[in-house]
Amino acid sequence: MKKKAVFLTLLFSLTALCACNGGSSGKKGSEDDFSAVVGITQDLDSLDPHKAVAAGTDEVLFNVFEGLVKPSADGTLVPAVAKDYTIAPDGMSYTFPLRENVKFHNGKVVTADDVVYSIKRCAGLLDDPDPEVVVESALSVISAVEKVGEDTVVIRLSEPNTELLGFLTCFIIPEDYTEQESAPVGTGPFQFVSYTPLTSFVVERFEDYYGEKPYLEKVTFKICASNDAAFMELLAGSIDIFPYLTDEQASQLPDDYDLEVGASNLVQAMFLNNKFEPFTDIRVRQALCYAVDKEELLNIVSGGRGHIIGSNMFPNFGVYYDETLENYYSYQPEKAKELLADAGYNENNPLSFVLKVPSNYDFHVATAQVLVEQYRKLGVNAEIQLIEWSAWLSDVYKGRDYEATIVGLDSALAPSDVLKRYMSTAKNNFVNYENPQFDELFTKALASIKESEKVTLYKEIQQLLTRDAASVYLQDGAKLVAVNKRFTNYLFYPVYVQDMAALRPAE
Amino acid sequence: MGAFGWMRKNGKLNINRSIGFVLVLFAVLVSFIGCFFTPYDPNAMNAELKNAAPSFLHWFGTDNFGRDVFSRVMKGAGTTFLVGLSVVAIGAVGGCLLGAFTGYFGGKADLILMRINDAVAAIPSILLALVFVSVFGSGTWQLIAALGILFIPSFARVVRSGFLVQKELDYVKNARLMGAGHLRIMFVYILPNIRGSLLSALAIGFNNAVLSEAAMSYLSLGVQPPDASLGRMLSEAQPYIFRAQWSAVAPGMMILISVLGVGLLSLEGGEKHG
Repeated sequence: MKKKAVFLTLLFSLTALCACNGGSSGKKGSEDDFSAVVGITQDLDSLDPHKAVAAGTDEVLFNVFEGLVKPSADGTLVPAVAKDYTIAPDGMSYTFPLRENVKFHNGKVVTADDVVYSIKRCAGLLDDPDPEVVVESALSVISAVEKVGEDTVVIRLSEPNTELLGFLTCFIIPEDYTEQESAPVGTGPFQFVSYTPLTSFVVERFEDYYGEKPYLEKVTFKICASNDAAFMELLAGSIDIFPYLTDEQASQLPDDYDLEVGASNLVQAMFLNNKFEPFTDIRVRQALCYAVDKEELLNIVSGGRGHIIGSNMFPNFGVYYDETLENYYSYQPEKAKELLADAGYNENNPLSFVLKVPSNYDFHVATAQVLVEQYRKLGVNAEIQLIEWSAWLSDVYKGRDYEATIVGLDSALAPSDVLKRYMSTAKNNFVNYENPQFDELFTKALASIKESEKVTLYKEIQQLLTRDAASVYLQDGAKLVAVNKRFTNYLFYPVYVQDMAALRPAE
Repeated sequence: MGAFGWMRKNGKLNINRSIGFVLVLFAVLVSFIGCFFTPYDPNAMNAELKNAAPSFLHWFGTDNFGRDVFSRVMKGAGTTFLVGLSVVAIGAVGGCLLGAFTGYFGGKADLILMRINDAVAAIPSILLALVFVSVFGSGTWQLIAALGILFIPSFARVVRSGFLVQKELDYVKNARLMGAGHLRIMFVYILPNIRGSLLSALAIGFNNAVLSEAAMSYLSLGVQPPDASLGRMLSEAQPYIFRAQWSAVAPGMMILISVLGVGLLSLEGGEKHG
C-alpha cells in the first residue's frame, strides 16, 4: 500500500514537471495579435499616480498618465500635455503653453486649471493637501504655479534652477475627479480597464490620444509572486514580455523569445562611509578602488554584460557622462598594496571592515561575494553582513550606521538628481562625503543656464568624486528583457518605465 | 564481539546501527578533513568555470561563482555540524538543569517555569530565531545562541518527565536516608538512569539543529556569505536548479547522510531504553 502511494506521488510529480516544460513553443500569452501580457513582480502600491511610491508602480502607470513633458527613449524630455516650454534666462520661471484638445480618458479636455492643480498637488502646494500624496522634494523650489490666459501655465521658483524640467514629468490628472484610486484617469496612450490586487492591471488603447496611437489594443500587466514564478509562466508561454530576467534565466530563454539588452540605469557601487575611521583616509579609499578587478566582477555576476562606471553617473546621461573616468582606477593590486602600506595597513595590521548588503538583492549579494574574495587576495578582511531591506533603509540609508554597503542608486532625468546626495548638506548624503569644492561646483552647475557650461561643471564634479574615491564605483548593470518574437521595437528608457505604446508587430 | 559488538544484537548484525554508523562516520570524516584540507580553496572564484558540470577536476562540479562544490561541501559540513553540536550542547545543558530542578523539586517554581517553557515551545522556532537574529544581528554565533535557547524546552521536558518518575523510586529514597544532598541525588543518582531517553533526545535534537541551521542559512540569516554552510549552499544553488543541479544535490545529500545516519544510530538506543 505504502509503495503504491510512493509510486503514485512520483508519477504525479513527473506529470507536473512535464506539464511545466511541455507546450511552450508556439503558445501565446494573449488571446489575439493586438494584445500583450507583461510580467511584473511587484504589486501596485496605489493607482493614484501621486500617491504611488514604488518605482514598479510608476513604470506601469507611465502608459496611463503623462506630465507636461515626458521622457523619451533617447534620454531627452519631449513635450506631452504642454505644446512647448521656455525656461527664463535667469532660471527663475518656466512657461508652458498647453497642447490643444488633449483629452482625459473620461472625455474631458485638459484645461490649465487641471495642470495647475496637478503640479500643486505634486509639490504639496494645495491649500488642503492630501496627506497620502508623496510630495516630490525637488519641486520644493516652486513658489507659485499660475494660469496665464486659458492655455498657458507659468511655474515660478524661489531660487534659480534650470533642471526642474526632469521633475515636471509629474502626471497631470483632472482637478475635479475623485476616483483616481479605483479608476485612474489620465491623458496617456492607454486607458485603465481593471485592476485586481496581486493578480493583474489591465489597460486598453485610448482612441482619442493626441499622438501616435499604440499598435496594441490591450495590455495586461500580470503580477507574479516572484521572479522565478514569472519565469515559469514565461516558459509556459503565458507571458509575452518579462523585463526582469536574471543572467541565468536569459541563458534559458525559449526560442520564441528575443533577448533585449539595455542598461539598468543604476549606479552600482560599494559605498563607503567617509566618516568611518579607516575610510577617512583617502589612500585607503583609493586602494579599495584599485583592488577591484571590475572585468572579472562583470564576468561572474552579469555574464560580462554590464557597463563599467568610474563615478557616480551612468552612460545614459549622454553629454553629462564622463566616460574617461571608467578606467581611472584600473585593476592595479600592487598599487593598492602600496597605498594600504602607506596608510599603515599590512599583514600584521590588516584593514578590516563590515560590508552590509541588503539580502533581498541577489545581484548585490553576489557582487559583495566577488569583492570580498578580491579584497581577500590583498589581505583586506571584508566581512559580509546581510541585512533586511527595511533595516538597510533605516540603519544604512537614513541612520548612516555602516562601514561599507553595496546598492544601486537610480535617478530622475536630471544630472543634479544623481549627484546632489554628495552635497555636504544633503539629507540623503549617506556616504558622509564632505568637500567644500564639490558644494561650490554643484551650486554653480545647478544655477547655470548655459548648456556647455553645465556639461563642463558636471564633468568636473564627477572627476572630483573619482579623484577623492568617494566610493568604489562598479557598474551600470545590464537590464535583460524577454520579448515574444511577435513584437519588435521594445524601447529602453533612461528612467524606470515600460513603454507599451511603442511596441510594433514583428514582420 | 570486539569493538563493534554494540552493532550486534543476539549475535546478529544490527542493520540499522551498522548503516547509521557508516553514514555518520562518512559525514564526520568528510567534515573533519575539510577543517584541514580541501582540494580547492572553498572561496576561490573562477569566472571561466561558472556552473561547470562534475568532472575529474571538480568532483561535484562548480557553483555560479566557479567555486568547487566538493570543497565547499567539506567546509560547509564542518560549519553546519559545529552549529548542530553547539546548539544541542546549549539545549542539553540548559534543558537538563531546568528539567532536573523542576522535576525533582516540583511545586510552584515548577509550575511557573514549565508554563514559560510551554510558551517558548509554542512559538514556531524559526519565527523566534528570526526575531533573535534581527535584534542581535546575523552571524554564526548569534545563530548558535538563538537556536540553542530554542532547543532548551524540548530537553527540559524530557528530563523533567524522567525525574518525575525516578524520584519516587526506592533508590532515591535510600540515597536520601543515607544523607546524600539534593544536587548529588539529581546529577549523580538520577541523571545516569534517564540516559536512554536523553540520548534519543540528543540525536533528534542534533538532527533538528542541522535542519534548522540549513533553514536559517537558507533564509540568509545564519552563516554569512561567502562562508559555506550546507543551508547557504542550498539557498545559493536554488536559482540554478535546472541548469546546475549538482550544486544543490551535493549539500542536500550531505544533510541527508548525516541526519539519516544519526537517526538510524539513535533508533535502537531509544527502543532499548524505552
